Amino acid sequence: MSEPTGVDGVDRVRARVDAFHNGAASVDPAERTAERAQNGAAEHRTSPPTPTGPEDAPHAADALPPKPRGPYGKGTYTDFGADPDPPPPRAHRPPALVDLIMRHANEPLVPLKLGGDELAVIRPGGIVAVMGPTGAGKSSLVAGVLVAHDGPTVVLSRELPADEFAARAIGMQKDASWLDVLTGKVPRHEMERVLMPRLYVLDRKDATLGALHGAIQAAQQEYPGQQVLVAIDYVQILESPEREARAKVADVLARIDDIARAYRVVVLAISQMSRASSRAARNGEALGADSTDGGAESAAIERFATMTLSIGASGPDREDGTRAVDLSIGKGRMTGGDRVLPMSYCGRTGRWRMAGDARRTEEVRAEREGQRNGAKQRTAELAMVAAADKATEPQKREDLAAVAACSKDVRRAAMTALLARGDLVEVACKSARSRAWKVWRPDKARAAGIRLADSEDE
Amino acid sequence: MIRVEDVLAALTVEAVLSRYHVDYIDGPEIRLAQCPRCGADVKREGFAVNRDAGRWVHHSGPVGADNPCRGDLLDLVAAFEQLDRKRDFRKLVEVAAAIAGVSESTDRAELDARRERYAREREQRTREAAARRAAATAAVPDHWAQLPRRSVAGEAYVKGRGLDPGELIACDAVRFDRGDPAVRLHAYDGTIINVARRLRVPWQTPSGDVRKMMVLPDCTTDGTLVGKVADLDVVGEGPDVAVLTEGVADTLAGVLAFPGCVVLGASGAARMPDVAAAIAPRLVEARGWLLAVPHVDGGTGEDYAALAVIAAEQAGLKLDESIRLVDVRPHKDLCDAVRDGWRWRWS
Repeated sequence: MSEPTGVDGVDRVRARVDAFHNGAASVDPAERTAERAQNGAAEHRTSPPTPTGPEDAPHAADALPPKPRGPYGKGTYTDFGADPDPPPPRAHRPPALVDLIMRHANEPLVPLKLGGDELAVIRPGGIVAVMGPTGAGKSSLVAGVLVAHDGPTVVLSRELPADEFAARAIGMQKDASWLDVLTGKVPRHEMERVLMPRLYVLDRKDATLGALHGAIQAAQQEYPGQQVLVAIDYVQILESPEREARAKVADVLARIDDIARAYRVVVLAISQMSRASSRAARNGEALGADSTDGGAESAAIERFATMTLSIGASGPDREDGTRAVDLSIGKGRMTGGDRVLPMSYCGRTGRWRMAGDARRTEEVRAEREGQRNGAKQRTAELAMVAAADKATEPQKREDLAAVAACSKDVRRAAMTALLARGDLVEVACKSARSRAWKVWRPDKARAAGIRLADSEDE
Repeated sequence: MIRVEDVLAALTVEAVLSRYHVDYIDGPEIRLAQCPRCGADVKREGFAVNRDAGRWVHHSGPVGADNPCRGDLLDLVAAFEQLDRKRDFRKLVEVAAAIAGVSESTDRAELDARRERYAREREQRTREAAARRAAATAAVPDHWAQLPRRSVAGEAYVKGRGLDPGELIACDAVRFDRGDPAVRLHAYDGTIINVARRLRVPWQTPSGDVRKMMVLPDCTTDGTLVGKVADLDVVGEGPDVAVLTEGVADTLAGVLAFPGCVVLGASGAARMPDVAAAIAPRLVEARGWLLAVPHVDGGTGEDYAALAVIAAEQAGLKLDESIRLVDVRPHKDLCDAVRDGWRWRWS
């Protein structure tokens, strides 16, 4: 008998009993345990058994309970009398699938706001990965979103102590720095007024995913019907039984995903960036969808996230202490990604605000390319003009262009621009076997009495 | 010659783990994330080693006495070395002796002293564990007697699950422990040996497991929830139909859904075969029926129910004759079905 796929309830029980009667398995608890252990060992040590055909004798494991697995791993029934482990995954099928859709159909989407602006809208149970280089303002951005949230907020702050996190949240609303708040320069009543009354903070050693369950439950019980927003700062330093860094991050995200879906909350998960991604983000090379895989240690960040927000290149500090920053929406499941939001960030107070509408990544990239190439072209033009000034006779275009250390396209564009402006002119002489006029500075050509190519044409 | 008793007496958990470069957090129970025997990654550190006793177990399912992933410190060394204790015994003892610092030249008197101390400590631990279990089990009837019969929060929870708390309280099927619905667990001889409570808010253990049901510490879970095997009448006109359920909520739902029947709950799906094996002979004697109510989860629930059916058949009952399977689909369990108005029909 093969695995009774798609069969549940009493039909599955019958299938199992039939399998036993057909000699597929033992009911002796001792044999059962041993067989299960063998199956478990094989599962971890070798590739799964290769099916050899439907006519094969039934596999011994078919009539046995599968090795218990589930989002929370194993329980110890005997010692604690816990309920059995969750069942192994099974296929969802209509019409139960429609029930699954309808179960959450009436849940309102959760708006992520920043100040008075809406940053994004997320379905309950989703994870928003917030990434950025060190010191780019990830925690502040998340704090800003929490401050603007209408419902209860739960913060798992592994990195910052609770007071420092709260100081950030207060500072951005009172235009004060962390230090001002932490040293009491903001009046107490003001702090009490602006700090979110529905805030729950678990910090440092208390910031575990186990404790998060309790905090979310408390928030949901205290504020029934309101959407809980959870922030996790940050995923790479949360505890996990896994030792290898990637496996650890993947495990943490899997557990966060379980929590988000179980409690129907939106989780803002802050993630460090890998060094290469940080560099690309700072340089403005990682924009939009290219920023999706920037999270350090694991591709699981990209996989589990409903949306990825990546803090990218920033401009120079303005007079008021703010600076323009790109915020890339790399992935946006259901809401669309690959966009760049122009933002303004004040490093002193940690205040973020949106500075304009989101733009398509290609548009921003083309603009940046143009700006970047414009600067290169100007440099190339100066180099070519200087070389032409120094030259004692008309120069081949290639020789002149070779002095500019840039791409062929930029050199060509620079030459065209110089000729168009008249900074260089084509003179009526050619190299052997060449069809192109040589070029020189107009004053030098005049002084040398060399006719211009245009005049010969005439 | 190195004697295995000397090695066992000298071997410590710390020495073994340190020999194999295993990082761990020290405590009375050391938890690891990988089983050295089967190599399985245990996500929530389900591999436990008792530091004092040296006993270890990989919690990979219902713990049977012959679960191969468990044993003493010699087994642990065998697990790390991937040796077979029986086949490679000599080599195993040599490796373990090296870890324990026991050699041919070790002073005999010292080894004897260690061995005696080890034997004393082991006996002491066994005695203490037995005494603890006996004391805990003996205290269960009093504990049950002291539990309140009413609870606002608990009754609200029961009502929220679609069950009538008044009816359950009236037949003393449920009491309340810290607001959680609690039911008694009987040994197969009818004595109360444990109390299982359904947590209104599931508890997340430090190791990440989620528990919906709690029982009293040091007490066994091998027994029947709510009903007793002896409630099945083998002589007169009393009840001769047993309803086999799993978990607290389903058992309480069974009490309401099967009036006149003896509802015998298993403390978790894994206990269903044990309960079925215990009640089947009495049903055979009573010429009664067994109604098995599997959870509909496409896996564990049905599979353990199948094992329960097989166990009952081995005692003389027969599927579709004296064993009936209760189909609660499309609901996932009996409690949900009862809440939505499902009723059992004899056919």
